[in-house]
Amino acid sequence: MNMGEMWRLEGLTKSFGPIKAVEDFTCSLEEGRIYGLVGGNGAGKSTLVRLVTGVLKPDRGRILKEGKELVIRSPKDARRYGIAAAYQEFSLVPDLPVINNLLLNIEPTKLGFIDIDRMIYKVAEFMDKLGVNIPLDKLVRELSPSEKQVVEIAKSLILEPQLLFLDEPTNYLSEEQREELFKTMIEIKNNARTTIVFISHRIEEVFRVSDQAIVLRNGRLVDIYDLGKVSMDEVVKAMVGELAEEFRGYKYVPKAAVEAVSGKPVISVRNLSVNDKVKDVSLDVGRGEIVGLAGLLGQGQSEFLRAIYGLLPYEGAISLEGRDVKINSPRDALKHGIVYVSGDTLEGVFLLRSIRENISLILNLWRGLHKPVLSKLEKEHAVKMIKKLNIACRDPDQPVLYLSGGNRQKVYLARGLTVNPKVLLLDDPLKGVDIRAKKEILNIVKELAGDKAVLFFSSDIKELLPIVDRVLVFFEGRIIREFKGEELREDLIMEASIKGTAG
Amino acid sequence: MKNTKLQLIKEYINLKIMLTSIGFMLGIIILNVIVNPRTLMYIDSITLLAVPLAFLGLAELIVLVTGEVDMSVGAGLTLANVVSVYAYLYHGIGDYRFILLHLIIGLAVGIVNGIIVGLLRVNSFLGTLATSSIWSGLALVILNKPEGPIPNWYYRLFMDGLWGIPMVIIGLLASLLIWLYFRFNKISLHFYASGSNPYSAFIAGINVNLIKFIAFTLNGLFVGLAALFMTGIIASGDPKIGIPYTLTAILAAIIGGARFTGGVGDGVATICAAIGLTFMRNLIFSLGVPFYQQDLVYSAVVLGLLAVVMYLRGGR
Repeated sequence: MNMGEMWRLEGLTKSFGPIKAVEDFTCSLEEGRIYGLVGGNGAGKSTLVRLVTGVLKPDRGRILKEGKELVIRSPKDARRYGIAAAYQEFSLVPDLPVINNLLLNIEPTKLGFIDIDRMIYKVAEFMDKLGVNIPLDKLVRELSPSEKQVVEIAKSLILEPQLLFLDEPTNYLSEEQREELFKTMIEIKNNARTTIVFISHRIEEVFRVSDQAIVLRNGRLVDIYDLGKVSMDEVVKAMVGELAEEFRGYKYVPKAAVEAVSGKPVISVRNLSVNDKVKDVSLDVGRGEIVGLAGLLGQGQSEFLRAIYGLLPYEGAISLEGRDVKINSPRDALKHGIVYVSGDTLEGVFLLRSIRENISLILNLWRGLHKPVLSKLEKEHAVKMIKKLNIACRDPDQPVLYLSGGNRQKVYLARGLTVNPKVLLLDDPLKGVDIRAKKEILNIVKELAGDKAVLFFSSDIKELLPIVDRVLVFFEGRIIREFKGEELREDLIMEASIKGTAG
Repeated sequence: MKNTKLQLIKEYINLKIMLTSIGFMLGIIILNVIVNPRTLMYIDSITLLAVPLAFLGLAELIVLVTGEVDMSVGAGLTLANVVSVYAYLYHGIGDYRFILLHLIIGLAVGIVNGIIVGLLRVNSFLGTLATSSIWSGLALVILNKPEGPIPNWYYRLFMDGLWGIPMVIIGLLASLLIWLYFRFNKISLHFYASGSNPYSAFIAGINVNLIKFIAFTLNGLFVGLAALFMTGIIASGDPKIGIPYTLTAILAAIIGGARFTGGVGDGVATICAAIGLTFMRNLIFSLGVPFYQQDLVYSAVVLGLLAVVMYLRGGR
């Protein structure tokens, strides 16, 4: 044990089904230091935070403080040991005022009653010190995203933790607010000797405030770098890693489809914006073209696709084969031949209903409610799709519940293909799918692309490379780079995704 | 700072919803008086009828706040009423234990619901619908028809009041004070937090399942209190008395700001809503609706009200 070592995480491991989110993570953290926790999509950053804060139970491994093993069974225990976190997806209670969110479960009381005076005194002073000005009596549900972010951070700070995790705390903050946060971080690191673990998709921020960078890749610790000594490029290289074995010899083969694109685009999107999530995105996709969307998770890719499918309200223009269309609902989108399939099968399939019904659900969409369901047609169609997509099942009337993740995903995709779409929107459909099903789905998409325009978002871009014609990298709601031809290499795309606008 | 405190207290007692509910109550009462001025003479006995409903409304509210629902409050009330009267009639338990028995049965009913929902994590709608049938069935086994009387001193209490204070005042004051005691207690914040966002509550170190168990236990206490007043009012044990009360209690809580998704709702507003709903029943009676059609009309009006409340909320 070296001097100053305060916390030690030893062999932390956590799997979700077949996916190893964090594997054998071991590292020591000293007091009074800021660690940047960095890694690409699915590296395991957020999982790691939740393992230490007691939100998730590790399969294996232990957490030590000053050499003593901690028993963390719930967030309550973690709090007691001085561990706190500001979570990426927030941990606020919408129906309570700001002040009660800040003091949730640490309310000062007088004879069991809420001591409102002491509560206000405590929080007002604290918020003053932070330089935050949000009405304390306002309900959290009425706050703007940036105000919520500030409250989430303040909520973790007010516990005066000794180990603090900040998971993407700058997401919704303005320039000045960010500066304010960095000042605060450095202050508590110096004065309270707090250990801070900082996660941000903005790599330059990590370099600015962190002393060291902990690099994660595929759930494993790559190395810990002293940020005074290494360059940003070196850290990014570590995050990207070696080119995967199977792609090392991968040569770009121009696809026949690309030539066909020269005609007018099937779908053309102009200046599309969705709230704060997507900003001014324009793109064209031609017939037979497969366009990959890349970037770190949460950079607006999902929102972009969902907006085109009518699931989110948008500003901007969408035109199909030269005609302007307005899409207000999925029904509109389907009418225009736009289909969306996400990686969230719980959202996409009806678990208790049969494969036949799931696949043929929209077969009769325009037939009108009073006409009977043509079950023979339904069955024929379902059998055809099951064969085409190679869905492993006993018979078409088996409930989807009994299928594996990969086969559920195929059922979801099969339903989308029922209407023979012109535009296919795929929103990370390969996550949580086993390798074989992945390959099969990719082959199907490639085969089908012939007369369609395909927009394919994947959080793991290397899977897409064999089938895409172009890759667009999203960062903070904008397309920042386009890759095509010889440039379609995993390492280049990852680097661009990580560096974002800093590179 | 003073201002923040005031705003905060306003938020806790949910001023907006409270005023709406008081408006609803006063509106119905005034309408009642216009239709039938003689209502004024019976205003205290009608309001007394509202006391059991007020307690049932609070019982329902406290559970709705944590994001659950209780379909068994009416049946729980019946059971407490029937068991207590049975114990008096056949076992001569007629002293202070008569009161205690109501509360114990209420509490027991609540604890059973709490175990089923909070600890065994059964869906509260299904779980309490099942226990509702069990309590009703049990009540019928114990007394298969309305029976009386109740201890004379207890009967006199509702005639003469306690130390000259009418029971209606005592009942309403008690419900109000118990609610305010709860609302300004630290634990109420954890109730609201657990209903509003269970995951966030969990992250803050709150044991959400335990909170739900406690909510049902308190709910049972309120059911027991409701039964106490019901027994005093009807002066007998009646195995069918509570059945229509469940829906009305839920409506009182909904008018009191509760939602099925949890996290909101106010007790004072619920109490006012209970009074308003009781006067509404009287209004229908005053309007000369034939006896056998009263349930039909009342339920239709209740349903209509529910729709109006939901619609107004959706608009905001």
